[in-house]
Amino acid sequence: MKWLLLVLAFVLGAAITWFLTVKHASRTVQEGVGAPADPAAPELTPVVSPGEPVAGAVGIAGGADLAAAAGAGVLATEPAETSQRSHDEVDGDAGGFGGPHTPLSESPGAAESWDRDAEDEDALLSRPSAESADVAPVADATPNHDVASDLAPVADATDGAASDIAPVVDATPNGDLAGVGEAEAVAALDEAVEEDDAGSWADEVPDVEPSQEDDLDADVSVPPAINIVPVADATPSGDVAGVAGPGARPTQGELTFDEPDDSVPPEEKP
Amino acid sequence: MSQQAHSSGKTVTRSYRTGVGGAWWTALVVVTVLLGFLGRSDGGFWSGFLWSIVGFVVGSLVAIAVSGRLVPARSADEAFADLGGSGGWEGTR
Repeated sequence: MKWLLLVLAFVLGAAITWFLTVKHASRTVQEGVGAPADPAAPELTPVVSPGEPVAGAVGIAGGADLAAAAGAGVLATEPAETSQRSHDEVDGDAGGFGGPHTPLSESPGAAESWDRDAEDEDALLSRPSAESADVAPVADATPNHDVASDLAPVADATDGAASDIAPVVDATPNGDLAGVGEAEAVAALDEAVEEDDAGSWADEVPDVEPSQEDDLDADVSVPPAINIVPVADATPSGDVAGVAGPGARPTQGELTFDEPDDSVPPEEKP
Repeated sequence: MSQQAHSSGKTVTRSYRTGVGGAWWTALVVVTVLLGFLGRSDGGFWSGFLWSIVGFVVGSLVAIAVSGRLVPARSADEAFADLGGSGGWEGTR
């Protein structure tokens, strides 16, 4: 009896589960569409005849429009220029970091002009010089000038016409990519900054000398100037607050909260 | 998978699998309780009830395995995938 119940439960469970899980659906198929009697029919593959344009192959215009444009001469000069430029890019940029350079966009937006990482060093070029570099080699094309270099990036500008666009790194001897300027102006500015720094050091160092009363380590036999002066040299603007004595308190670029009465206006003081 | 291609109406019937849902649990309870009452004379209600649960679950697992082999489609769209978007729904049974 127990086995009979077991077999009966088995059959009922299988039947109920089958009817609950397996569903049937019907669909009306139009005449000539689909192959319900032959589900294993191979899928249709597009057939492209050689020499004929492929519909929808190029953008919205399609292959027919592209073929018509090529036949009308609109795109006649494109293949030669493209092939020569690509050849130069392969020769010049094959070993470069990041691969071949992308050409300049026609009208860079505000983001591209601001962010120097948007187009590498192309974003740092001024538009008039870049456009003149594009036009000049074509007009002055001689056997010594590479015509395709008008579209080449800055690193590939080796002829005379494009030499007015100096590499970015050479334009700034100190390697400052943010401020592209003349080398003489940058050198003069550096000298002025160095002289200013030297003068400020000479003025600040004697003031930093601590007195014997202010030195917390006065009882130690080590000379006090050895510990204090190098620290002041390392921070010319006086960023190390509290290291030196009260007489050497920095006055430049520091926020001090030691004396709250100084920040209170006189009329608000009690 | 059953297929019916009527020459007149062009109605195609396909099978697909779905989940068991809550109906299966209801059937489990009803069937096992009934079989437990039927087996009261042989070992009591609980003996028949528990063995019925075992048989029902094993039978369900076998049915699920068989349907997985015979009905590969897991939805109606998948069952009619080779027909494309043509045609309209007639019904589900």
